[in-house]
Amino acid sequence: MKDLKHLIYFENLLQDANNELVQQAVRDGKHALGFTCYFVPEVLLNLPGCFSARLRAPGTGSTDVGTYYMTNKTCPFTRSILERAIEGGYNFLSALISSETCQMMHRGHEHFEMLGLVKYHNPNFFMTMFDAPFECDEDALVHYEQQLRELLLQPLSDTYGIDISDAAILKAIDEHNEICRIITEIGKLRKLENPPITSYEFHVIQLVSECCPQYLIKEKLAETLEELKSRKSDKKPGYRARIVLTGSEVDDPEFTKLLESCGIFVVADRYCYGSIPGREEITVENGEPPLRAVARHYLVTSKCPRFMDISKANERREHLTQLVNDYSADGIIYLQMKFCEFWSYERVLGVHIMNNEKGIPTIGVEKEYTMASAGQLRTRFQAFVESLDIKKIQGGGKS
Amino acid sequence: MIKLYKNEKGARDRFYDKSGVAKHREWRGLGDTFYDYINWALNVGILAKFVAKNPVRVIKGIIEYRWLGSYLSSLHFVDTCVEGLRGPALKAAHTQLHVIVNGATYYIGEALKGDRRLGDNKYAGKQVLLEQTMAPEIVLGFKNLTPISFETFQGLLGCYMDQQLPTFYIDTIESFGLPSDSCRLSSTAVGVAINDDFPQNGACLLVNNMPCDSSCMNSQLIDRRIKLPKLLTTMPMRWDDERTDEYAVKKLKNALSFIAEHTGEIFDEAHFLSVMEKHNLEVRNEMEMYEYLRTPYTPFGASAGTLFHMFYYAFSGGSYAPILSAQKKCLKIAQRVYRNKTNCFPKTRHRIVFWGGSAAYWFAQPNWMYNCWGILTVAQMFNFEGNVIIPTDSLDNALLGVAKNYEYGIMRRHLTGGYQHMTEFWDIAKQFNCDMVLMNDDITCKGAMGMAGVINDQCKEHPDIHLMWVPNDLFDHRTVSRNEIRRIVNEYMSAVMNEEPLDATLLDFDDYEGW
Repeated sequence: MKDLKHLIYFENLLQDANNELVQQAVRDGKHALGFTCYFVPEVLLNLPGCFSARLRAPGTGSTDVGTYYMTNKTCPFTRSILERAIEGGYNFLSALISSETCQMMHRGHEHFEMLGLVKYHNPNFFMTMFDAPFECDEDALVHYEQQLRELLLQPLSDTYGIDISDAAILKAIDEHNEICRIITEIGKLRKLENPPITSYEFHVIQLVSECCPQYLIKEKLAETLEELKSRKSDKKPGYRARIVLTGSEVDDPEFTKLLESCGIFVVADRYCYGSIPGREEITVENGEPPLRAVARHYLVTSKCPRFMDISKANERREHLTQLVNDYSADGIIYLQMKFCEFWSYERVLGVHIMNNEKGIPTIGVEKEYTMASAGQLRTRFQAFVESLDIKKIQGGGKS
Repeated sequence: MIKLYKNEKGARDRFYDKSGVAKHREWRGLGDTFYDYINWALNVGILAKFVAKNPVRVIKGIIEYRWLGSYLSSLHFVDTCVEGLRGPALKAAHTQLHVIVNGATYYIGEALKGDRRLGDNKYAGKQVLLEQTMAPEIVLGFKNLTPISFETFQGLLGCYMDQQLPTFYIDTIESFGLPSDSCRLSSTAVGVAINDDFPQNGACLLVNNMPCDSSCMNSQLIDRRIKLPKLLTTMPMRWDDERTDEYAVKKLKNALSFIAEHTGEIFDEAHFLSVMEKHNLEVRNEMEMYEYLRTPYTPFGASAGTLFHMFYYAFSGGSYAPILSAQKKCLKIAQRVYRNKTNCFPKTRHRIVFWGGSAAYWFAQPNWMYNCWGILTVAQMFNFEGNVIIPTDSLDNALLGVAKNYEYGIMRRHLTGGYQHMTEFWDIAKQFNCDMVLMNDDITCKGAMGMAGVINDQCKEHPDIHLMWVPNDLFDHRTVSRNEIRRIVNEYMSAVMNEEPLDATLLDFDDYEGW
């Protein structure tokens, strides 16, 4: 296929958390609000006067300092973020918005406060952390909304004078929905048997939409969508297996490239930093306060294993089955960031259920944050693709 | 490298090598040996009574459940928790341990009595199961219901009794694919569930998110095996923020309605508040005991006190009468000790606080530290968990108090809700006149490990307190064995503290295959 016009530009933006668009937005006087977890509604970080930056630590080599603070027995993603923060890679931030959703990430974020990170460069910098519910009922919704109001919006208003009125939230929702529409439309192209986009390209596009100021990247994303609509696919699809990828943080497009090199086309990115969920439009029902709508949206769409309710757990598996059907996938890969308690259990149970109860070929893989163990992963993925090939030859497709 | 000691005589000589089996009982002088023996005999009596009360179910239970057999070693466990103790310290420890043996057999008996697997019965419908480390308070307003702590007997308490017990369950779940870095408390419980080793009792189950991430997740696997109506009773993680209180109380109100709905019982507010008064008495007595612990004239120390605290937190909540009488007896002993300025722990060279999750497979580690190195463990992190005075002026306030008690619960208070809680040990060490802190590096506890560097950084602000990091694998003695723990403590004491052991026979011995 012909190269996408903006691909190299997008790739360059992903080389650094403090990329040129982030710098431009800061120069424009906007406040950069860092976050990592889906429980922090991205849309609220894009209120007028500020912009969201989902934190990554591209190019991570050693995590010696992060490991000193958090030991080598904790999540490598969290350690890498902490390492980068201590190195000064997030000094552009005006605030870090966090939630106590997982033990390691919240500990990592607490270090911003404990070590006084970023403060030197921005004395007004603050880290705020709210409580996120484990359920999705009305009580949980009220609690979540209250936490967002008092621990996310209010500090933004108090510290930086950000407009947190309903009108401002509605405006942010409209702009957020525009991005969602573009990404969703691009994402739907993956349903085609011979799609005009590679899974690597989609991963890059999705990541720039999360890591760059949306008002600055929107135009190029829209342009890319138009380009894709008329882009001609190769004569034959370049993959051997279509896979739904699910799991914890995957914020390195090189990982998707590794999968592609094994003959895998990632049709659906249902992982943290992916677009499913993440790029669904937020709807505000008649008469509903916009903050309530935002809270409801993130609670309902979240597929985090942290939701303990058995119905929500079953819904996660049903959702994966739906994705497999909608995107004509051959199988599922469960990814678990090393040391992640949530995804370790989810992976174990998910692999069992999807294989034995749903009949969908599924494997579970533990991975590091960096690509350090790429060789071992490649072997696993190649073996999985071969097993899927054999199933197809035997006329099965699904076990 | 610690120096070699040859031909020493000491406390380890009375044990057969590679085991915890003693050739004879510990000689403590005529009076104390006799007292110790009488208490051993009393504990034998409790076990005999436990079997005699319901012999068919107990025998069926031992055949059915792998974990139940481990309780045969409970006499040995009690012995390890009183090793090296004399006089009032021995009396206080036995008083506390006596309640635990009594209480544990009572609650295991209740669980077996209501176990549908051992024969259908209606009694099961009068029990409410509480998952993980959830204390019983929420059930105590229902006069006719018995709270059953689900997982504790198969997990934590079982591991205290027998270090070999959890390994089977851990291997079971790991063979299913769970990584070995997952918290052992939770993975053991899932292993028990997969083996169908939980008794089948209860009218309903309260599932919860205590204490941490892995226990949220293991519930999802366990739930598949438990065919009972379930309710999520999750407590906020940011419990330190009063803005989360309203939600916590709502969850508990939902739990009350749920229990009433599934048992047909009526919640009796007056009864509930009167039990909470007793809960408060238990807490106040405990606080009074801590006052003695701060001084050199205390009968409390080593391992028994912490176990007593954990036991009454997990099982009583004001409902188990022997707790209060044991506390009164202990306080009388303490008053006498303090009045007479008796030093109950004469070998003490250092006073230490244990922090983080300690090795459940070696609960008597504080006794060893005292006997081998003269380090008196005055308290552990668990002692400062629970301990909430519950207001009894109204139901709403009482429920908020119960919520706080859960949020302050075992392994939850210090590992969630903000980093400041994890570093409270510096102040506690000073309050209890300790010159050492043993930081348990529970290698699967991410909440604690995530603070390691900051704790190390803080060391320089506390030059008067020695910080000793000691690894453990919570339930799995194969990863970091008891002897490995001993080796690390020995090296610290000889290399950093430049000290000689009090009893060289305790430095290095093999009890890997013991209970």
